[in-house]
Amino acid sequence: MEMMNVIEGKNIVKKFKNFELNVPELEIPAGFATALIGENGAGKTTLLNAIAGTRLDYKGELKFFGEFSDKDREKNPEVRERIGYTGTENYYLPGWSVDQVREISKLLFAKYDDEEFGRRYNELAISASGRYEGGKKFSSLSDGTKTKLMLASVLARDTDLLVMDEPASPLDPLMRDKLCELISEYISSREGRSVFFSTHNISDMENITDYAIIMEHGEIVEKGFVEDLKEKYLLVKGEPEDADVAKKVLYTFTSTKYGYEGICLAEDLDKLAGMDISTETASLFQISVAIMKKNSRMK
Amino acid sequence: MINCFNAYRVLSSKAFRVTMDILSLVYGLLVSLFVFTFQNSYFEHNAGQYIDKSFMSTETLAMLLGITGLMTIIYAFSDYFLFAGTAARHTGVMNYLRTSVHGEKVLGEAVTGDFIRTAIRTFIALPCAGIVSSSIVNGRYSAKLVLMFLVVWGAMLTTICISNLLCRRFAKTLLLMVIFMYVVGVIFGIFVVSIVILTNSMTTLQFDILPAMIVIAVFYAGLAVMFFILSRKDVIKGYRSGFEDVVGGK
Repeated sequence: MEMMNVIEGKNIVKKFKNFELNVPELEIPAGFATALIGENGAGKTTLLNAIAGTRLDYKGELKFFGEFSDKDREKNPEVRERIGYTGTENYYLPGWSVDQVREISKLLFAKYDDEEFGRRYNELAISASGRYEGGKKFSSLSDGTKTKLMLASVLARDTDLLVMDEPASPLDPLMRDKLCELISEYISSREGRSVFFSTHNISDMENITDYAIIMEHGEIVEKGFVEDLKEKYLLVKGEPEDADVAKKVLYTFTSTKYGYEGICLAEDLDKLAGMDISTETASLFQISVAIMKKNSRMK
Repeated sequence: MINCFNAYRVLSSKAFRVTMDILSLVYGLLVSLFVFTFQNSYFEHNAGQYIDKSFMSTETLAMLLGITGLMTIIYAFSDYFLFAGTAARHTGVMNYLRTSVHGEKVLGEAVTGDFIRTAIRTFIALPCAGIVSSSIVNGRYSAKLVLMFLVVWGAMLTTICISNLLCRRFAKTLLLMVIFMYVVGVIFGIFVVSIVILTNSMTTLQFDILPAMIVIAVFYAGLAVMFFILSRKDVIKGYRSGFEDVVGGK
């Protein structure tokens, strides 16, 4: 059965002075949680802003839910109603209170449920006192609480796609676990619901990630379902005497006096033939770091 | 109009609205106080001479214009820090509005709601308070007086709209904001002096100033609306530019 895509993109280009986002093809599968992974400056936020529609000065085409173009997104309220977005900064005015966020949400979105916001407010423990603090200013909240407030307001809407820019970054480990739970609940609550998020916290978000896209220098360098990536890349361990040869084959290489280990393409295993090696399934974190290292300009 | 007031209420802080309402009330009370105080002294001073009881003493007018000029500056200042000036300075900030198709409409309605509310506040504080107080002091109602207050109100509203336009567009720092406040005071002064010169000239030439004051009042009303529209366009333009200068490149 052909996979449905919640987002499709073609030739998405955005030029800056010293950087260019260039994505010839983008496919985000529907019904899954997709992680956008990359080092700082890779172009993740720029791509997410283009998808969410908070940035419109890009070239290329986007298609949402298999039928709506990005032009439709700007003109047809139904499209934006179905997309929820949370950002890292510049999201709410600093002087807005929690009550104002609720009132503004009612004006902006037809499918905003205020009762659901109240429920999420309590569920995420946005107020340290446990009581509702509607007058609290956004600027007075900690970074983690700001993120919780954004999550509460976006989850209070009836959407089909969540686009989240580094939602886990400001959160403590407990709340990151809760975030994974929320994403899982969101996707399983209705068929076709999808989540697309960028993250630096690959380890914390791995158990919720179904599909991964890895970016470097404004381009997608690897993509695929996590299970497929784990078959494509393996963690190889070997003896110290073979380290010099293995170093040339492996994407990442760590050696001690007891041996070496690193990530290797499964298809390159034959280059290590004759050596005493063992292979293990790599984590998404290990695979992502390996691919980013291979493509990074960082020495 | 209900949408405008709703959007304005949602996008502005309650503290801002309540403060401006209270200040407007104080302004209205001061207007009444000056009329009662100086208009009476005007009659005493001119006892025995024919005086046109429907018109104002110089002292009353001077105090009214002084306090009106001050209120104009306060309105512009409050907008800069607490309402649309904030939005104009932080156009890249309101990404939440940009996630909705209705974001621009809500912002525009809020700016319109602010203009209407300012017009109502200043109308109650200046023309209403002034006309009622003057009518009590003079013992009668005067068309000339009504028009005079409406003309000054029009000048005040126009000055507020001009200052909003200038400050939202150009006042990027506090120092520039303070400088623009002086500019606002000068603009209001120019409007007022023009009115005084025109009415004095017509009185000297024994022309009926009522038709001229009607024209001036309508002129100022149109001017205020024009500058409000320009200022609103500026805020929307700033909002739209935020679709292109959002922090990116990560």
